[in-house]
Amino acid sequence: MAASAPSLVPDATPVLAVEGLTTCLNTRAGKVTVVDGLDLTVRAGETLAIVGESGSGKSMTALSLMRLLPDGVAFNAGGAARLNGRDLLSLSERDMRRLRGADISMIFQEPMTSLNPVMRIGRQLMEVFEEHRPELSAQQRREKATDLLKLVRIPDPARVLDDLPHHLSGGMRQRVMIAMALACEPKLLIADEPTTALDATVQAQILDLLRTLQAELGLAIVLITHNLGVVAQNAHRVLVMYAGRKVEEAPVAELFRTPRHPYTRGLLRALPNPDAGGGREPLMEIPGIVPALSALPKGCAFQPRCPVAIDACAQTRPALRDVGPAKVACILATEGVPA
Amino acid sequence: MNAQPIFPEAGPPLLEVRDLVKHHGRVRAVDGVSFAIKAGETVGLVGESGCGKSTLGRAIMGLAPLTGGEVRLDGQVISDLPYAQVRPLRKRMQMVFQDPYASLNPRRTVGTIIEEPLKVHGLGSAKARRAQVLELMARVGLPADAASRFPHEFSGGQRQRVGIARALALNPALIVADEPVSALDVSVQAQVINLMVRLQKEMGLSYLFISHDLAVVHYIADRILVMYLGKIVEMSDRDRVWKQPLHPYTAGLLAAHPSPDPESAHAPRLRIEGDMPSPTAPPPGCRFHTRCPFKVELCTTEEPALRPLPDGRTVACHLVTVAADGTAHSPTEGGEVIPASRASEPASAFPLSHS
Repeated sequence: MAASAPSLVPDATPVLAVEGLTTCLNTRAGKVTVVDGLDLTVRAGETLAIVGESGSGKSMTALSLMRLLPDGVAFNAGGAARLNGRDLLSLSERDMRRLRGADISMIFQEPMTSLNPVMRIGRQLMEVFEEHRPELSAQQRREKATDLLKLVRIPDPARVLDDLPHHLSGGMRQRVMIAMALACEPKLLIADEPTTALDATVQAQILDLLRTLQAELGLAIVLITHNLGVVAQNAHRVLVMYAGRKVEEAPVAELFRTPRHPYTRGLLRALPNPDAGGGREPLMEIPGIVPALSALPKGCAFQPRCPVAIDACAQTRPALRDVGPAKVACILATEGVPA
Repeated sequence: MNAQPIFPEAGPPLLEVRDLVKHHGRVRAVDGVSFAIKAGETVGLVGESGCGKSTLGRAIMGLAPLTGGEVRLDGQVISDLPYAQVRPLRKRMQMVFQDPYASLNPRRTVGTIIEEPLKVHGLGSAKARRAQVLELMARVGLPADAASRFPHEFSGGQRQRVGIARALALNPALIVADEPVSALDVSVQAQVINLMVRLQKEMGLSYLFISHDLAVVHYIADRILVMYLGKIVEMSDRDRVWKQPLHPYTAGLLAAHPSPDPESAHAPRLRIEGDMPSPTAPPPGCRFHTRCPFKVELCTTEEPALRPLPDGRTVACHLVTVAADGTAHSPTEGGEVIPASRASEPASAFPLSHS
């Protein structure tokens, strides 16, 4: 199972349905919109990848959904995010606290920053149950903690319960984080660059584990990453973000076979691809850099860097529209790939 | 760019590393590494964090004294000699770092930063140096007005261009580039890689290109060295590393590389389990045996030598065999891959996963 591409569960009702999510940041230059009217859905057993470069708004999307935006720095400025029908964005802080870790969980890039460095692993795992399952006895909590470590395939779980985080390798710490995130059997897991800090061989192990757990538990996963290889091997659907907006969304095979937004095409062609042969043609460059969100260009945000832009691209912001099986925010997008 | 470039044996290689050892206290970061780089060649050095690849790069550059072995440039020993003695030779080797921001003085202008190596080596008048700085900036694609600005005013990609311009100032023969594109976004990474390839053609540079990214290394390098726990386990030309890896670790590293092609998801994979052991106490025998799915008794007791094969490759694995016709065979051949479904087997299937 873990070796094959995960199979899609069709037509299930979305676990999470986000509409018009808008997040702003207070900066010295004033208010800046970092997530601009984002729509997304994820179903049980499905992985939606959000891919983008630094500053695209992908991590801010995750923090917005978890209601973990830094106080006074960033704030929600509109939209709805329904988790099984309940709008996360309008819940009281108290209700959200109850939901977080129980129905919706998150894992981060660097597990060391999310684990308490001076608390034993077992204690940290059991704390989750104290918060969400107060009816359990201490003995039951310890048993459940052991089961969780088994679930994430940690060998010798009894010993690891008594370890401190720094006793563990990076890969083992990420397994512990996943165990904590799954403690209360959430419906939705948000994974923000979960393997970026790990070495290639360990990254492969963790991604295998996430796929296996998804198949076992029917988890809906929002996978946030900059790595297109990780997207290709793990997602069912892909959402490409640029400068705070969704520019393209498509089923994974479709997106990689027929990227329709010039930015998506640029990203894919910028990657060296050893499987394409031994040649050393210059890599496709996307000229320039991502624009500052405080000074977005007029019209399409990608237009100043776009190799195919026309005058109209600098006039109005392109709306997201259906193009074949994809949604694309580009006035030039067509059913096939333009030459 | 033939698979087996034939170089006339006119003289010594540009860079020669012999039995290089670098220990930090008990950490055996680099533990006996030998290889050579020819003029105009790019050698890729790939491995995971803690394998010693960065330490090796810094040791070659003379940024830290060696524990053992030697480094030769144009046939002359340059390691462990007084700086004044090797200074003229040192000019011929420069380094480019991963984080261009950390390696650029934030209080100096870009022009001053690029000029500094020229000043240190007392080259040219102030006027001539300024002209040269402008020429270097143009060469790496920096605008002329960048000279009077500070590093923080630039994007990561632009800062890496500054780092490259500084490295080029002394017209070196060899650049040691340590993860030069790892901190950059994909779209900018392509810009910097293309720049390095173009500069190599224009200036006849050699590169030692250190990276954890096998696809990037494959793109830029002529030959690839694979390092594991302070040792080289395989040396081969780029295409054969990708298409026919010999060492099980190379094969595992390759299988772990997520291909940006969803259609390849069904390919069988060789999964390397567990983590790299600590370099303070490398395992006896083959250092990879604790994670190797093919290991036999011999691997746990006797360290495999790095041996040259008839086909021009070099490998350190007891289980690589050479057939009568001279072709080399990896223990990973013949469908004996470990299915990734092992990952979903009970926890006991994971050997040595934590220490």
